[in-house]
Amino acid sequence: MYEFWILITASLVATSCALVGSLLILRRMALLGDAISHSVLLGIVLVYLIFQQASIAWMLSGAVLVGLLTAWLSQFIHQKAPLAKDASLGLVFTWFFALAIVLIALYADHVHLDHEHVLFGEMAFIPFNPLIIDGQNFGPHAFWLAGLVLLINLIVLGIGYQRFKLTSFHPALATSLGIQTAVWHYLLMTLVSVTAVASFDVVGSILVVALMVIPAATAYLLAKSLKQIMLISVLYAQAAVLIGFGLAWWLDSALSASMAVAAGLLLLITLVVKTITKKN
Amino acid sequence: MSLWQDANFIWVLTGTLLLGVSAATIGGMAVLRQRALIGDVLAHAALPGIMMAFILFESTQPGLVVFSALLSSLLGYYAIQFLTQQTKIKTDTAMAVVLSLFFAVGLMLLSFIQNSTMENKSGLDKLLFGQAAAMNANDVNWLIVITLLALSYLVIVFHKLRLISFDPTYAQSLGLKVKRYELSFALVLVFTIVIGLQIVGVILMAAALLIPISIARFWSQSLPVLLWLAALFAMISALISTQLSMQIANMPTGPWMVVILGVLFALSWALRWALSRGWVSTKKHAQTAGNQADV
Repeated sequence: MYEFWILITASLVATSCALVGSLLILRRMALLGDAISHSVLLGIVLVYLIFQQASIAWMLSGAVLVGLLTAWLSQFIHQKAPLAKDASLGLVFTWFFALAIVLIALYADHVHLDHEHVLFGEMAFIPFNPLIIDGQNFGPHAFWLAGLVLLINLIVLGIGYQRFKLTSFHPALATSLGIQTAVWHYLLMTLVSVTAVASFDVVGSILVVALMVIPAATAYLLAKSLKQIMLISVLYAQAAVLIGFGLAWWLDSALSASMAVAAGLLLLITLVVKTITKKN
Repeated sequence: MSLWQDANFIWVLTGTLLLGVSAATIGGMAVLRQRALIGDVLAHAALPGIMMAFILFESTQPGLVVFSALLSSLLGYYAIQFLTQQTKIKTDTAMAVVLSLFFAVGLMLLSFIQNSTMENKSGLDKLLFGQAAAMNANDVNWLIVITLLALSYLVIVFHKLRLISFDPTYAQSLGLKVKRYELSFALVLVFTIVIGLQIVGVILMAAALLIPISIARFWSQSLPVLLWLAALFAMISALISTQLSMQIANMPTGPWMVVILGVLFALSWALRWALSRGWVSTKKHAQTAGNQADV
């Protein structure tokens, strides 16, 4: 049962990451995803400090607020101050992340987080933190959070699929058709934040971006449509979870980092195979 | 003040000041050349090299750390170039892929080391968030050497670098070896990053590179002045954060440095804004000074 809960939770998280990541790389916003996955930590720490607890609803709303703030603030600084887009993004997310680390150090007694958790997540401890309602054990907390976030992602992406597609490929056409591109942009940022917070317990705050970007980039090499990118990247993400689990077991290394490395290995293999088949 | 008589404090302060100045100037050049986040990628990409070197030699000698970090950062640099030039992957995706993959490899090796029985492994995880407080005379000597190298490089090639950065076509027509300068600049940037790893750590290195110059942008439009100002702001934040981290136990220096830099940025912006409002009737250019600063 122990391995089962880890694998199923990681797989749910990886699926969410791959779906959101596909849209991110198509919109050339991979680095914004990186930034949000860092700054979400500040949201988590603030929620811990202000409410002294970490219920799923508070965690999600705190993360969404900080994630949207990151996207909005970096855009705002870029427009109002003499700074390039990437510089203002780097400024905002490093500052948020540094502030979160300082707060963790200052209030170490109140925040049940440490550097290790931020870096690696606590995948191996997922099964030890069960959701108990009325004395009944419903399985790990992280599993339900990951499931809920995947459900949110599926519903939003399912309903808005055509709009997301249009605003990603033809932003100018979308605007001329009267579609509010900004609304869809911030909706995607919301999904990124929600996904980052669900992934936090599982892969830590920094490796989230590996699961978002690497499977999607690999799929981008092979696919010919948005649907294909999403489908292939989800498949790659599942393979990365399984191979990474094996790697971690074999080398006695961290689960989260091993899964990210597995995703990278799959990208490498895909590149090699693609080069060979192209030459023949 | 008694802190100033503490030898350890002097070493740490020297280290953070040196790092602040070299990161602010070299990083400043990178930011002005529209490569603000390349430093972030290179810092993350240094990690697997350092871990691999430790697994092979079981040592954290400064020389070995610098060399291995250099190799793996350069590998990351070329990986980005390969992905963007040889496949249809776009620049931002390539940067995010290289950053997260190299960092993941680094973390995987780190966890492998921590679960193994190797000796002398205690300092490795400090590279992630930096730990200036643990610096000794030997580390600082290394910092002095590398900082001097980086700064003298900047002074010597300043004019050519400026030309290549802002008018590459003209530079090429003059017969300058643009590619060679690009590579040498990348090398010096990586050197600076490697110094920074011990103080601000891998994750926040980008901030030390890009925030000082961003603050300076509010106050000047001339390149030399910008670089001097960036160095000054970096020194202020280094001074304050070292004091804080030595006086309060368990306070990380690097994150404090970044938080203070961010505050300086906000203060500068607010002051600039107030000035432009107040002077709008007498000095017309003050209002637009901020917008025109695109070098």
